[in-house]
Formats: sequence, C-alpha cells, structure tokens
Amino acid sequence: MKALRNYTLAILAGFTMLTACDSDGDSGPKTEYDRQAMLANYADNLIVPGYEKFKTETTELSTAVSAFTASPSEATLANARKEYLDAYKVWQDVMTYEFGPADDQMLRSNLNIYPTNASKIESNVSAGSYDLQAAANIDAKGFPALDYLLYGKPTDAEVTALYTSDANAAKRKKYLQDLANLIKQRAEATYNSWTTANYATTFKESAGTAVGSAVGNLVNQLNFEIDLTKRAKVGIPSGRQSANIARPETVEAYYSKNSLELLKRALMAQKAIFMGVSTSGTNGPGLDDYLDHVDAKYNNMLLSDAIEAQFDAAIAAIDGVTVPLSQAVTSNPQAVSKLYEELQKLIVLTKTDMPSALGVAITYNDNDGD
Amino acid sequence: MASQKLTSYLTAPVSAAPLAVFRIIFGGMMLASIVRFMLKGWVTELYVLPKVYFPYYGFEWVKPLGETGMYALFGLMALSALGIMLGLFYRWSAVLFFLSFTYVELIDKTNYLNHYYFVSVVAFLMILVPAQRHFSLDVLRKPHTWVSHVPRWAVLIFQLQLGLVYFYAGVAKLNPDWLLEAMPLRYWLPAHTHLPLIGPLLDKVWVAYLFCWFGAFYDLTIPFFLNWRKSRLLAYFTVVVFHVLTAVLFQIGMFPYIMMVSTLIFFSAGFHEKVLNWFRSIANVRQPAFPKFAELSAQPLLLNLLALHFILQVLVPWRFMLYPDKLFWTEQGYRFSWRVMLMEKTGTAFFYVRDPETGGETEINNRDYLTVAQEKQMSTQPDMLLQFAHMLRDDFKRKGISAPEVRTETYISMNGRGSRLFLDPNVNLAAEQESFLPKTWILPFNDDKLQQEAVGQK
Repeated sequence: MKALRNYTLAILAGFTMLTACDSDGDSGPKTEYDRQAMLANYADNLIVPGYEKFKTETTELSTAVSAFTASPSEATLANARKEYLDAYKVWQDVMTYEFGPADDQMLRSNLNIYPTNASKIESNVSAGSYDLQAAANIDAKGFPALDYLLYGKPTDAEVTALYTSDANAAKRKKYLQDLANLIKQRAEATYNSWTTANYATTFKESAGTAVGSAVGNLVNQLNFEIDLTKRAKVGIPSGRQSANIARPETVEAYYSKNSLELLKRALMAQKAIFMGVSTSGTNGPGLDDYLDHVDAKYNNMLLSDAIEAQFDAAIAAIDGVTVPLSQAVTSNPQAVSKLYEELQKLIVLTKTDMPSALGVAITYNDNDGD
Repeated sequence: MASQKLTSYLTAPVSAAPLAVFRIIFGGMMLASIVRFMLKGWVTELYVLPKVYFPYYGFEWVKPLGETGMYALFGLMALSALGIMLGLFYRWSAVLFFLSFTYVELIDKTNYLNHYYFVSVVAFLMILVPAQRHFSLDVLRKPHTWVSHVPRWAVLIFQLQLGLVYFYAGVAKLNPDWLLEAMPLRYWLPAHTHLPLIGPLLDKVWVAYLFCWFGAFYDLTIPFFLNWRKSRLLAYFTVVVFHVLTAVLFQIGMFPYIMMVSTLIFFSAGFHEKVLNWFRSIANVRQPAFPKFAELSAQPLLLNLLALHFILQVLVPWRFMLYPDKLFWTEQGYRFSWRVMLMEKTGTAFFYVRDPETGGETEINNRDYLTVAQEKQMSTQPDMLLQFAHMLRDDFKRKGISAPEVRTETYISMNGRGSRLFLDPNVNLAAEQESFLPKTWILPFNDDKLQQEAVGQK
C-alpha cells in the first residue's frame, strides 16, 4: 500500500508542477472557439448562396445561348458572351468547394479544364455525335470550350458566320447548346445536393479537423486552389514548367482575353473564404478567426494578418500586368514574375503555416503520426 | 564473477506462461493489424499505386513487388502472424514474419512509424525465444518439445525492450518545446473539442500543459512502476487510460492497443498461468504434471547477440548528438529513436530543374511524381528532399537533358514557429550524395529569424 501511496504522491507532484507552469502559459486560446458557428457561416453565408448564384448565372447562360442559337446575330452573340463571362466569374467564387456534391458532379473536370482543345472541339462538331462524359473530351467542354466557340474568330461577324452560313452551323449550334446545358445541369445538381439533399447539414455537423471533416476539406481545398491558381493560371503560361519558354496559349480564357479578370476574381474569392466573408460582404467567423483563437503568429504579427496582407499583395500585383496575360508573358515578364512571386509567398503561408496552426491533417490515411 | 552471476540470473528457469501469452498476443495483434491494413486498401494505396518510393540509405534494393507480389507478401505475413499466434511451425513463422514485415517497412520512408519499427524489433526478438514450447500447436504435434520453464532472459528481453521504448519516448519529451510551450499538443488538442466529456477541456492551454507533463512523467516512469509488483495494478490501469486517450485523440491506428496488451508481459507468472488455464479449461486440455526446463544449446551465442542488440538499442537514440544544429530542424538521427508525437512540422517544397546548356529552368509540380502522403513527408525531411531531387535528375536525364541541375526552395513551419527557408536554395542537389555525414546544405536553424523571400527561378 505504501507503494501505491508513493505512486499517487508522484503523480500529484507532477500535477503541482503543471499548475505552477500553467501561470506562465498565458498566450494560448482562452475561450472556446465555436467551430460549429464557423462551419455554419461557411455553409449558410458563403457556399450555399455561392452555388445559388452560380445556378442562376448558368441558367441565364444557357438561356442566352439558346437565344443565340435560335437566331445567331452579333446582338445575341454579345448577350451570350456577357452571360458566359458572368457565369465564369461566379465559378471562380465557388470552385474551391470541390468536395462532397461538387466532387460527385466532378464540377472542375466538367467545367474548367484548360487549355481547351480546339481541334477536338472541331472534330466533335463536324462528327455531330460525341460523349461529353468520355475521358477524351475532358478538354473539349466547359467554360474554356465556350470561350473558343464564342470568341474563336477575330471579329464578331466571323464568329456569327460560323453559326449561320458555315456548313457545320447546325452542328456547331447543337454543340454550343450541349456545353451550356451541361454546365447548367451540373451547377443545379450541386446546388440541390447542398440544399434539398441537405449536404449543408452534414457539413455543419461534421466534427474535428481530420481528413474528410468539413474543416479538413475546406483547408485542403483552399490550399489546392491557391496552388492551382499559381500554377495553372500564371505559372504554366509564363513558362515556369516549360524551361522558361512562355506558353501564352495555355492561359485561362485565352480567346476572350479575360484571364486577369478571372484571376483577380479567384484570388478575391479565396481571400473571402479564408476570412469567412459572405457573398453579401459580411465578415463572419472564418479560418482567420480560428488562427487568432490559437494565437498563431508570423514574424511578430498575427498569422491571419500576414495571410490577409499577402492576399492583398498578390491581388495588387495583378494590376501591375496591364495587357492581357497571354501577351504579358512575353511582353512584360517582369510584372508577371512579380505576380508569380507574390502567389508563391501566399502558398508558403497558407500551405505551411496555416494547416500547422489549425491542426488539420493533410494526409489521407490514419496511419499517419505516431 | 559478476558476469557469472549475471549469466546465472539470466538463465535461471522461470515459468513459460508469460512468454506463451505474449506470443499469442503479439501474433494475434499482428494478424489483426495486417488484415485491417489490407481491408483499408493500404496495400494498393501505399505499395502499388505510387510512381516512386523513398527507400532507406543502403536498402535501395528493397522494391515493391507489384500488385500480385505485394498481396502475396501480405498474405504470407498474415499467415506467419497466425503461425506465431498458434505456435505452429513457430520458428519458420517468426523468421518469415520478421522478414516480410521489415521488407515492407523498408520500401518507403514515407510510411515510417515508430510503432512499425517496434514491431520489427519485437519480431526479431521473437525469433530467438522458445515461445512455441508451451501452450502451442507445435507441442501438440511434437509433445516431447513441451517445457514448463524457460530461461529468464526469454521473458526479460521483452520487458526490457518495452521499457526502453517508453523510457526513451519520455527522454525525448524533455525538450523546451514540449515542456515549456506545450507544443505541439497546444495546436493538436483544440481540434477535438467536439468529443464528449473531455472535449471542452481540450481548448484550454493548461490542459495541453497537463498532457505534456503527465505524458513525459508517464513515459519515463511507467516501466519501473510496471516492473514493481506493488504498483503494477495501478500502473497498468494508467497504461490503459493513457493509451485509450491517445487512441481517441490521435490517428495512430493499432498502436495503442498493441501497447495495452503487450505490457501484460510485466505481470506475474501466476497471472499468465491463470490465463492459460482458463484457455485450457475451454479447450479441455491438460498439461503434463512434471516440470521441464527448456535447455538451449545456443544459449551463450544468443546471450551475446542480445547483449549487442541492447547496447545498440541504448546507443542509437543518441546518435543525433554526432550531428550539428537542432535535431527537430535537421532530423539527422531522428528516426529509430522512439520520438513520438513531438513535432508539428509542415513544409512546402518547390523544386526547380535547370538545363545548364540552355539555361532554361522548369518548376516541378510535385504531385506529378508523388502521392499526397509522400509529398507531405518529403517536404520536411532533408534525406527525402535529396532523394526526390535525384528522382527528378534521373527523370530529366531520361528526357534528354544530359546534366540537369536541381534546386529546392523549401519552407518549414515547426512547432508554431513561422515558416522559414529550410535548405540552401542555391545548392544543386543533383550533385549531392546521400551519406551519414552531416548535410551541409541544411540552413542553420535560427529561432528568431524568418527568411521569407520568394527565391523563385533564376
């Protein structure tokens, strides 16, 4: 019994040391962080409204394309182009949420694989029959393919002519309509999964930060998206992955020359996701607040402030590029390099410092850690 | 004289029951672990699908065996674990299990876990002991091999090995990050606030300190409290609580359960005999009435081999002292030392391959080569970063560049410190060789200095 008592005493001694130490450890989280409230903010104020808007925009796109194919003219073309650009911009808002419903709908593969394959599109058009879900057609559909179909010729008249006097006009109209409908249908299905099928509840009630949890999905997808923004939107066109030989034809929205506008929209959306800013502009509980809660620091400032400032630096660097990106990669490489460097710094902060502080697992099996 | 005394102490007969129970437990846990591993699809995910692997220095010849080969190997491993559990063709089973398990672990550093190393070590020790000569199918097959007693060392080595694991895990916790900053638990625990009962507590800093200090105290002392008859029961209760807690809080698979049942080896012979008698009463078998001691002809050789083993076990965790700079930063001498859950270390590595003839430089998308898990592990460990650089060098050679240069710009965030540059971004890693010598291209660790600058491409 004496031994038992000694053991108990030893444990108690340990506890006493802890309590003594506790008074020094005053820099950590003091109040409980309401992760459920954060998830509710993401679901109710960012993701669901985001998809709702995307559904609306893609429906309008589909309608505008119908109007154009019903009577192709420069006026109906202008309207279709407008709706195309609107929907493409809203896509930048929601593309980060590639888990759950969006993953089921393979939204990214169906909607935004670029550069698009013009010759494949042309052969699909002239064949008149195609399976848009075939793996081979992954770069012949979505917004990049619409970009080609709506802007593929230098003048509006030439584009319109492809839908009127051209031998393949009827087939081309059908292809254009099929692509617009596919986008609309997938956007609708994703929205419905979040709302009527109630994925929002699953998301909000998901606990912890493990792989597959709501927080884990959000952080991992946000990082994936920032990485892709740097690599695909800027890196590949500027020759970063091809021995410094620029590849202007690989920019997003090559034919319509909207790359920079879409890039800016994407970064602003990613910043809003980081901060938990709703579609209506209200700053709710987000990842930045969670970082503040665990008192994550970077270089004597709050990590959340450092990340926010770096988002701003990257967004500002876009304005340094004054001509369409496909030209700038050869005519103004310094400005593009500056933009690229700011994105690189952003990735270091969001991919290295942020998951560490959040305790988010970025591995896919529970064999992790020991 | 002292050595004679030691030898006679080590070779004195003790009940074979603890060893037999340990054999059943170890074989059973391994069988369950392997079946679980296969059912989770990890054989394919970790040893079939990856395009490249990170073998250990000197073990580059260890390669995955293809889908059929890997499943066959795991099948063999499962069968040999079953053989250990049942005590059937025991020696063959133990050797096969050790070889197959260790082979798989040597394929890819990405999957290194201290508990896999522990399994390999215990499997090795299992080869050396006469664990099949009591309560086994081998005894049913060959009744004359039955013994009631084995030499003391056959039980002691497992107690010693377990004790070393705990003790060194405790020593590793005696560092400023763990004791003074409560890192990394301070970051890890708040992720579990949804748990019932303890959840709300996990958000408190003092709880992180409590876990850290109790964890260190537990690891350092538990072997002694388990060994001491009077404190054993309470100590074992603590073992169960501790490991249940770690199982709930961390994704560490089977490890907590393996430790919970392995530590039963510290219990008395009487306890283990009761366990076996209970099994006997179910199976309705009886054991011979006369005691018999296992005479082992190779005993002097075995004792020397074991002495060497434990000298190595004691020394290896200290090899980090031969390397400059902070261990957590360089990780030179980090593995095989029972350093468990000590670091929250995250890295981001950008790789650039340059063709010196044209001057053109290409940034690598790591995921074109690596799995998510491989990229994560590679990004924080210098030897893996070097291996990846060599993979890139070889790949670009195949693509027709005669002497590709490979640089990496790697950032590390470690235990709450802001991300900073890890390796010298100007060094051509394609020309660096792996060795046990200190890696000169690891930048010095500096606690205050942040080095965030986009080095980028030249």
